[in-house]
Amino acid sequence: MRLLLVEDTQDLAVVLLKHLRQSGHTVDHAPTLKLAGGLWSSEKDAYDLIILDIELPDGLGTSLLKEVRASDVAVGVLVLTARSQIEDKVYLLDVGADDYLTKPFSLDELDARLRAVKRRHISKPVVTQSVGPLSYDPTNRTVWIGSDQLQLRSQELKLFESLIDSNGWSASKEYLFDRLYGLDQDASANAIEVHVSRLRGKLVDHGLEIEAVRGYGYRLRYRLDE
Amino acid sequence: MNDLWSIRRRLFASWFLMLILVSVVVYWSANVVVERSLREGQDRNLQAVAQVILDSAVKIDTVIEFELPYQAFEVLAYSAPERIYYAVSVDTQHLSGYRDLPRPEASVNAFGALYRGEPTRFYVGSKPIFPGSTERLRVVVGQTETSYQTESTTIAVWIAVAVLVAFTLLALWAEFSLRHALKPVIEIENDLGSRAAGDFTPIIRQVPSEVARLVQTLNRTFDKHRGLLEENRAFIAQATHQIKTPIAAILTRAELLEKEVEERSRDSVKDLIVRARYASKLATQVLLRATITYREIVGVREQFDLTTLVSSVLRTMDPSAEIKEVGLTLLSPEDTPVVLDGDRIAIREAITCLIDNAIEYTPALSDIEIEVYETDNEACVSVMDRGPGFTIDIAQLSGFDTSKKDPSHVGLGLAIIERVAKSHGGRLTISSREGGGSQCVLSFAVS
Repeated sequence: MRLLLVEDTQDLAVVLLKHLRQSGHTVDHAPTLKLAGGLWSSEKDAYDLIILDIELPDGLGTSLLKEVRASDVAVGVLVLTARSQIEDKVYLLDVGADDYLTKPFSLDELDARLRAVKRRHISKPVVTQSVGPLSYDPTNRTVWIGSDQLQLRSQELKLFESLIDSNGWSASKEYLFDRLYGLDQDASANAIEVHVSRLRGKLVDHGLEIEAVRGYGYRLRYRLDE
Repeated sequence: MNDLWSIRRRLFASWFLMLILVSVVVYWSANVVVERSLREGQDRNLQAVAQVILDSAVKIDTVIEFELPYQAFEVLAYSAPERIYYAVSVDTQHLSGYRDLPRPEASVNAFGALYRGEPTRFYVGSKPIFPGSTERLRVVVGQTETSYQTESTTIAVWIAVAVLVAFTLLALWAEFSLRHALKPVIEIENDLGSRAAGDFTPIIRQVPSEVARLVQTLNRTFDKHRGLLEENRAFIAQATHQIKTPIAAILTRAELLEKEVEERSRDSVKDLIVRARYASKLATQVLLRATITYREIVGVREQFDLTTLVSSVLRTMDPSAEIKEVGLTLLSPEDTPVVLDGDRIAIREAITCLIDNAIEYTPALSDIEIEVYETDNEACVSVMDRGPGFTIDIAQLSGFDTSKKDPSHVGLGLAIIERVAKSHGGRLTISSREGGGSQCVLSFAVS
């Protein structure tokens, strides 16, 4: 993703830039409202998401937020604020922020919220892979039911992708565990069962079932195939 | 404040004293006036009798003849059942009647004296034996006055009783008038008495002009208090902002560092992260508490759907739950509204605190179930987790819970939730769940 980071606190900006770039994003940094406004005006269509601090030395980030929402560009905005006054949070959502993150925050939470905001601003692509009544967009990693996006969490999406990527939509537990957690990540033995159960709950209304295959793993099945 | 000094009691006491005083004065005055009036009447009767005797007296040669006017004596007897005395004399020569009748001390016609042990009224009349004579015929007529005194006392008592009754009726009327007049003050007193601590919303009601100034003064005082609180809140908001921004830099830097440092230094970095999070959460909760207190005082209220609110909170919190791989499930159908009248923002924060707490303490990969429902008089949000449960006494929640030794634990959250519930006529109840975990039910009164 290409991100615009608007943050005036130098220490925090340096750390965020490093983290976001390490996560594979392209990031432009603006420490002032004026600079941010300039970047937005010139590169409007280039950004997938804006990370916007509210308290900036030359004004409030909300003025840029209003400008963004007044344009016809569908870009996600995640607001960073140390002003955790509850009225402020509601106001930020009212003026068009997709989400807010109160300082200080963990980098994991930043990543999770970036993913959630990104998902909200993806429009349905032309080319998708059909999975029963669902459409999967491998480019943006999103799942659609008609014109609506099916909201899947990160691990649920990985599980879904793992199953549809596998031959016959079936995969072993070990394979799924590696896809979800990698080799260096700890997780409990029942983690896969938990995520399968949650994904099952989200797919069942659309005619898709996740069956347990004894001694092997799981298989995704579309009921109307029978 | 001592109740003895209430306006009502003071008015009653002064009214009672006045009643006693007026009764005594009325009794005394009536007694004097009636006694004087009766005495004048008695004197006139005695004078008439004496005059009749004098008129009937004639001197034939050397003998003075006169008739006793028995009819006149009967007139006296009719007027009161008293003894009658008389004496007729010429200068020092006693002619008829009682010899020992008292003489007046001065040259008066009517006088009172104690005669034969009884108070008696006398009248003395005289005339020359014949025209131009120096000898004078003198007639003294007396009548005891016991019944006159009794009668005057009785009349005075009746007058005093009449006055007492009239005053008592007036006192009752005054009590009624006082109650009626003080009704607006009592209503204001009830209004203030039923307020929650720190409720400085203005008094808005129709009051008589005499009380209007008091209400204006109270409202001005409330305004000043609200201003002070707003000032405090703004200060805390600014202070927390100043504190949290550098903490954000420390925390994120520490998180990056954690991935880069050698294994032996990792624990120190982790500890740094925990403490930075603690400081951050503490600052957030201090600000939240100040804000909740302020909103309570200002009295913000609106009508909203609790189910929609909970659903919105869950969407906001999902990324936090996702990090811990904790599921958030709303059991209630979103199209079934539970309408509540209250401070939407404060309730939103209370629910956020409750779910945040559940996410923090429930094990990874477990599910948190949230239910919104309505009873006869309450709207409830139930949060069920699989955490270790609570050992906190809800009734004691007023500030920081210091029972937990975990430095990452900040104990202000439950106190805030409890406060929001109470300010909406509700409560927070925590119970253990079968199979482990706890169920926190946040309820709000539905008017």
